[in-house]
Amino acid sequence: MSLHTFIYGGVFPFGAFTVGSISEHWGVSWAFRVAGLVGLATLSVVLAWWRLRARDA
Amino acid sequence: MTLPVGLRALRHRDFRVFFAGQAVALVGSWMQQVAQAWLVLSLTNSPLRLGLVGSLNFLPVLLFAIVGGAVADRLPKRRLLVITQSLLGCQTLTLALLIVTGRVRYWHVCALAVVWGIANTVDLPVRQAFVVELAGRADVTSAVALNSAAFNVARIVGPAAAGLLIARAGVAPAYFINAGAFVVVIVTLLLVRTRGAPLPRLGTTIGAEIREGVLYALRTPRIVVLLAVLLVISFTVFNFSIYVPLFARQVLGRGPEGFGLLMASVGVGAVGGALTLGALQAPSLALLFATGFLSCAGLVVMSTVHGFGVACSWRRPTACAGAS
Repeated sequence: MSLHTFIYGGVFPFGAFTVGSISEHWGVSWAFRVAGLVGLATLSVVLAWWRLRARDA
Repeated sequence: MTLPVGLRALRHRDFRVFFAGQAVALVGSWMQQVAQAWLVLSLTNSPLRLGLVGSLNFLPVLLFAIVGGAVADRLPKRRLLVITQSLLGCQTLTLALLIVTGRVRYWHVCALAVVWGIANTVDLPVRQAFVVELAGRADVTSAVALNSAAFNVARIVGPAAAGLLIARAGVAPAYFINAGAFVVVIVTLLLVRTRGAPLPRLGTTIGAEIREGVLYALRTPRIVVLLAVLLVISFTVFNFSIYVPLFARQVLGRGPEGFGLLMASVGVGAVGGALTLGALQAPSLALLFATGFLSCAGLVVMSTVHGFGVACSWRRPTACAGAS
C-alpha cells in the first residue's frame, strides 16, 4: 500500500512541474497534447512488454 | 434494525462519528484545492509557478511515503491524527489570515504547501489504517465503500461550492471554511473512543519491512505491470489541479465559477469510474490498459477543445477512465 501511495503521489511532483512548464511556454492545450501522446506511447511499451512476457512464459 | 451490507460499517458508533467528521473534511479539502490554484494564478498568472506549488504539495510524499506508512503502524493512531489534523488546520488558517490581511505572497503559498504535504504524508496512511480498526475486519469493505462515496461526493460538491464562493467573496472564505472543517474533524476524533493502538512489534526494522515489500512487488509481474500503468497515469493524467484552472483561464477565459464547475465535472467522471469499477467482480489487466489508453486519448482530445460545454463533457470520461 505504501508503494502504491509512493507511486501515486510520488510521481505527481514531476507531472505537475512538467505540465506547468509546457503550459508556461506553449499553453495548456500543448500540455494536454504532449501528456496524452507520451501516455499513449508509454502504455503501448508496457503492454508490449506484458504480451511478450506472457508469450514467453 | 438491520442495515444493508454496504452500510454495515455504520453499526459501529466510533466509525459513525469518524465518518461524519471525514465527510465535512473532504468537502473542505476540495474547496481548498480550488482556492489554492486560483490564489496562485491570481498572484502570479504563471502556469509554471502553479505547477511548482503542486510539486511542493506532493514532494514530501515522494520523500517519505514509504517510511510514513511504516512509522504510522508504530504509533497510536488517534493521537497521531489529532496532531496531523491540527497541523493542517493551522496551515489553512495561516493562509486564510495572510489572504484576508492582504499580506499573502507566492512564497507563503509554497512554504505552506510543503507543510501540507508533510502532514498529509503521515495523515493518509494512518487514516486508512484507523478506518479498518473503527469498522472492524468484518465490515471493512462497507467502510471503504462509504469513504469512497464520501470522497467522490465531496469531489463534486467541494469544487462547485468553492467556485461560486470565490466568485462572490474571494479566496479567503474558502480557506476559513476549511479551517472550520478541521475543527469539526478534531472534535470528532476526540469523541472517538478507539485509540488505534500501535501494531505489535514483529522484531523487524522499518528498513527491513520496506525492503521486503519492494522485493515482493518486484517479484510479482502483475504488481509490476499495475504499478507501471499507475506511474504513467499519475504522471500524465492525474494533474487535474494544474490542467483545469489553466484550461479555464487560458483557453475558455472563465472565472472561478467556470473553474469550479469544470473541477466538479471531473468529480462526476470519477464517480462514474468508481461505480463502474464497483459493479465489476474482478477488474482485469485488460480493463486497466483499456482505461489507461482511454484517459490518455481523452487528454489528446482535450487539446482540441475550446468550448465550455464540450470541455465539461470530455473531462468526465477522461476522469472516469483515470479513476477506474
